[in-house]
Amino acid sequence: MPDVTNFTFKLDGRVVATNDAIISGREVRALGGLDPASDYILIQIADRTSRSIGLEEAIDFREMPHSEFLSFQGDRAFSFTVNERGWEWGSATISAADIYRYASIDEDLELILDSAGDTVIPADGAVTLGGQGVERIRSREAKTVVIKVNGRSRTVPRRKHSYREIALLAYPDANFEKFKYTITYLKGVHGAEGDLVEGENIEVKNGMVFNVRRSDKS
Amino acid sequence: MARVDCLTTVFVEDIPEQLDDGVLYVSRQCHVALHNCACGCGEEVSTPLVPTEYDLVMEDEGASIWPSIGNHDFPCGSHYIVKRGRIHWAGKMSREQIEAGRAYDRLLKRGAQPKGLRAILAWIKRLWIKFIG
Ligand SMILES: [Zn+2]
Repeated sequence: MPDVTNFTFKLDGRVVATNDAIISGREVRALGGLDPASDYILIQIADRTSRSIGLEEAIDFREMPHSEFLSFQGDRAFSFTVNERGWEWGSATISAADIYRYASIDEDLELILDSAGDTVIPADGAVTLGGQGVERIRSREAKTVVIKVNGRSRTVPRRKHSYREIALLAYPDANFEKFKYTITYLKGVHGAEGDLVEGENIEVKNGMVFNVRRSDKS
Repeated sequence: MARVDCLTTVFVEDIPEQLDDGVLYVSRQCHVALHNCACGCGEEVSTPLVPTEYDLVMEDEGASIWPSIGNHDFPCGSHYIVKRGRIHWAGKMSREQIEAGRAYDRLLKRGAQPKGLRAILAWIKRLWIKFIG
């Protein structure tokens, strides 16, 4: 059967089909409705790396099935590295969310910007790529985590926390002689949930939820 | 600060650091509701929305919270029930009475009980409702 669609790729999240095994960067843009093709930078996401695809560059879908592309309006690609692997991007900024996603970085790790003396890139932040030199981004085990205590975000060191430490996050003037604090937790390590009582310690993770209710000790 | 007789429910992801009087802040994501004590004393009341603590039901007129809010550890000693957004003031209770109500609720939430136990629980609940009026 001659007219069978054999290959699919993703462009900006949409699935596009073609029956050609080898097509040019220009044809990828045209199939995705990017017109004129030369107004767009095309970025191909690969295994924890990404590269810019030129207009006349050939893409062989037999070698790279399920290819994923992103398009950017513009005429310049920006280079940087993530964990020592080369990356190209079609915009002068890249969000931390895109780095986590396309570099397959575990959300529990934190992103560090080498050039800025190991500054932490906030999970809701972005990196500017247009400056001098190539930005070097690394991921590492985070030293702090953000937890919710009575519905409020609190940044705490990544270690075990005691009943009293959690109660103090909710009530900075907590009085353990006079009051009892009922602490419940959800979304802990490996989905842990339960009660935290006096004398106990618990490992914390990003997004873990603690709720503290105060009552008197009679 | 004045006493309030109703609470306006506001759904938020993160609870603000400073609360306005007369507002019940509910974060479904964080499983908690917070409000300033209805007596106007300025103390913050936390009602965790987990099976062993509080239940919150949202209706057209406003939120209902069960069991009752017993701020017996605050200087004001307020005790009230939040029902459809309105504050129903109740008599002062001891901690034992409030915790008994909560323990009863916890028992109920464990699901189906043998008939005899259910009857006893229903009897406790009738007493309990009668008691707090
Ligand atoms: Zn009060």
